[in-house]
Amino acid sequence: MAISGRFFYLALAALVPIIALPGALSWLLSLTVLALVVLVDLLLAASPRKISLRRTLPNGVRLGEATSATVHLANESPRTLRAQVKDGWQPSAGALNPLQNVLIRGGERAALSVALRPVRRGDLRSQHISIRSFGPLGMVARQGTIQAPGLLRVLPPFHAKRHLPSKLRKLRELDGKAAVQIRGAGTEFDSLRDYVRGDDVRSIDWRATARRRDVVVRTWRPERDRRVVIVLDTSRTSAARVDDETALDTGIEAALLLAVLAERGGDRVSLIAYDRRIRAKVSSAGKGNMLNGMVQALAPLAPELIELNTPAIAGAVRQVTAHRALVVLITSLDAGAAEEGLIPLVTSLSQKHVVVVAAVRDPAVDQARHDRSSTTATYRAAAAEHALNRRAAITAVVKQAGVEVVDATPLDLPPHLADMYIKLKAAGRL
Amino acid sequence: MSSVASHRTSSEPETFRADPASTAQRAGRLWRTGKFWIICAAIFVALSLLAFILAKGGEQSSGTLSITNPAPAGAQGAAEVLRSHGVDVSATDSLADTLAALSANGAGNSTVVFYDPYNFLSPDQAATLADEVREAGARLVALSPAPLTVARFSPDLLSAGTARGTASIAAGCSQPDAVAAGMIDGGSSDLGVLAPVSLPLHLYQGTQNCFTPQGETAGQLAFNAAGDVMALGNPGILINQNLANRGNAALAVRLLGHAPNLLWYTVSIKDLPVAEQAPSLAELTPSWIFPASSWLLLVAVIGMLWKGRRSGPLVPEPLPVIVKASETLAGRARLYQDGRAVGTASRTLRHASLTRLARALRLGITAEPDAVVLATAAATGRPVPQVHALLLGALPKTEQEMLTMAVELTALEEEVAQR
Repeated sequence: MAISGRFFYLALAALVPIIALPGALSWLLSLTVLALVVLVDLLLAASPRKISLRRTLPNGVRLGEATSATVHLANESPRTLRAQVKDGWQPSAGALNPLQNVLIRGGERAALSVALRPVRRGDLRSQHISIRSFGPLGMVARQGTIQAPGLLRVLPPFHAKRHLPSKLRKLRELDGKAAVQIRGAGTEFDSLRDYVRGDDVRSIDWRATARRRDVVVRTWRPERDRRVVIVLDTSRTSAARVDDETALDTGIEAALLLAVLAERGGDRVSLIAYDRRIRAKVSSAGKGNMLNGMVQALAPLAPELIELNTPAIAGAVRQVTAHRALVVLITSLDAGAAEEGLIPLVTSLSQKHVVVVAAVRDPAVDQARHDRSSTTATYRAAAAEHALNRRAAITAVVKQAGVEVVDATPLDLPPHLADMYIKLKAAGRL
Repeated sequence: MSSVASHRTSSEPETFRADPASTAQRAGRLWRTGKFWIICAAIFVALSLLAFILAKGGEQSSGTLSITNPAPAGAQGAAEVLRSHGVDVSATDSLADTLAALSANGAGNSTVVFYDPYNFLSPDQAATLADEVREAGARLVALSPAPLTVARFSPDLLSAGTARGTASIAAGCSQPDAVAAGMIDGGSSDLGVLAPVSLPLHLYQGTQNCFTPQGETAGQLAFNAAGDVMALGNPGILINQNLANRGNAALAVRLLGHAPNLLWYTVSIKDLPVAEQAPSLAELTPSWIFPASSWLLLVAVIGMLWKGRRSGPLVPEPLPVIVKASETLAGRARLYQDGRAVGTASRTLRHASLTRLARALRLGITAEPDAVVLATAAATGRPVPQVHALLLGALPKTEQEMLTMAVELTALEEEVAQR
């Protein structure tokens, strides 16, 4: 049972007769009137239990975009339903109008559209729908809750998408599809063509020239169908918030940009999200939209408060591919975690694969380093220098093992990682 | 991406209905989930009701010589004994009630016990009571009446002050009730009883005096000439604690059990004359205040129900773990500061500056510090000893020196960078 503001004001209005005619009679009479109103409304209200519901939900929505969830109500009672319907979305789903009024005559249907603007990535849920069915006076209502689980998958925003055109242009330049033909675009033999002035004489294929009696040059293209394995660390270090987003969110952005780029570059991309077990695994081997599969798999990921099981990563990579691959580890370069696990891992991985370590750099540390305005700030600057020093030392050790390191702020990490991929591809190291 | 967002499920969505359980099943579920709290609430309500009934239903009081007080100082025992002898004992607490009961009982059917512990009754009221009692043909037993009061009850009776109590006292007169009782308590508290109650002892001079202490002419029990008004200066014999001692009960029953009705009149505040005091708050307030305010209280409860009722169950929000990344940095900085680690902090700052200078001057990360100093001096045009002192000299001792050094290091790096 629930009451409305109208009932409250009716009770307040009953104060007038009580003051005008003081006495037990007017008091009891007012009480009787209120009780009658309650009784009439309760008896004549449509039962909230005789409503059937259906949900229509979008398959997924990118974080930051608005969407709407539709609830279809069918009134299965003979009475008219005058109700307030509340869709129980969790707060981060950002329901703008979860509470709506409906009027459905007996046996009829209606649809409610709830506008949503999610504020968090992941699987957002609405477990139930509550119906507050008022009587004809609109004063007292019967209230009931119907379990109607609904799930909205909020996908990563992929802000790094804006870097995609420029990076793709660079990739096409490598590929020789652009106007400029350059020799050193790769190591894989592409085709033979006639020599034109300006071509590098070193690329003349003498054997073919002898056959054709015309000067013929070889053209090269970047390697294709190479494996790219992205390992996304979802352990405790990914819970660190840098510049209003967690390291995991930055890692997802970087992974998405790299995956799209590598797929357009003709390589096969696999992604593993790992801490102590595999949280998500996507491979471009199958047909279909790789990006879609990837964002769907990455959407529900959340940082786990456990230590990364680094020794098992090599095994996870081996499961994905038995061949040489570009292994991109998106993790943290912080002291402690890296010294124990990361360095031995990349050392062993780099014996077989090309390894890139990508880590988010905290711009707050760089800012703290420069602030020497007070004693406290100076101590802070010293602490920042200490942190940067350790980080530089770890980076140096990792680089000595022949591993590339991309260490950038959250905004720069995705494009820098893409640049690293293009650089490696250009150098033919894939 | 946008095509992903707008794409909707093509399969037929599931239809949800209310839980098909009947009302009884739902009640059963409620019972299973909230059993503990429901039982707690039931026990609470039951205990409250029990306490209320016990407090209200027992009609107990705690007044001295009250016939509803079972405590040692009460007189419930005496009343029960008299009831068992067929006497109808009733308590009154105002003169008007007493007089009404007296006239209702009819002539010659009543005994009135008068007890005025706080001396509320005025002599005029006492005279009225005595007159009415005499007209009704009843007996008046006054328990320790005040001197002025006892004089109004009967001109034969006089107060004779107080006396020291003795363990026991003999009748010492020819009055048949007193003779039948023989020996009663003398008014001193019984040492054998825990937390003994003792009431003041008074002596009265009447036409016939009984239980006269040695060397006194006045007695603890005095009668007037007609024998229908008596003053009992030793009411302690009536209380529950002492009733069973010696002839106490005999005297009580004989004195109070003459007539079929016994009116136990304890003077209360109701007998005080209404003074010309200011009108009370209740008389000043308009008549609608109470109903209106009580109605407003009801309206307030309705308002709480209106605003407080949730539209549906609470929705939980599972929050992900988020840790601020520079937490360790701030912690280390605070540790430095708390420990006044000027040396460590300065060494770190210098080392970082040296590394950066070496990189800026293209000396490589393995360059000797002295080489960096020389290169820096050459690049900036500063004297070598000054640069050496700043980068490799003695470490600062105070925070002030450290601050100065930190600022100078920044300036030096900027100078090299601008070169």
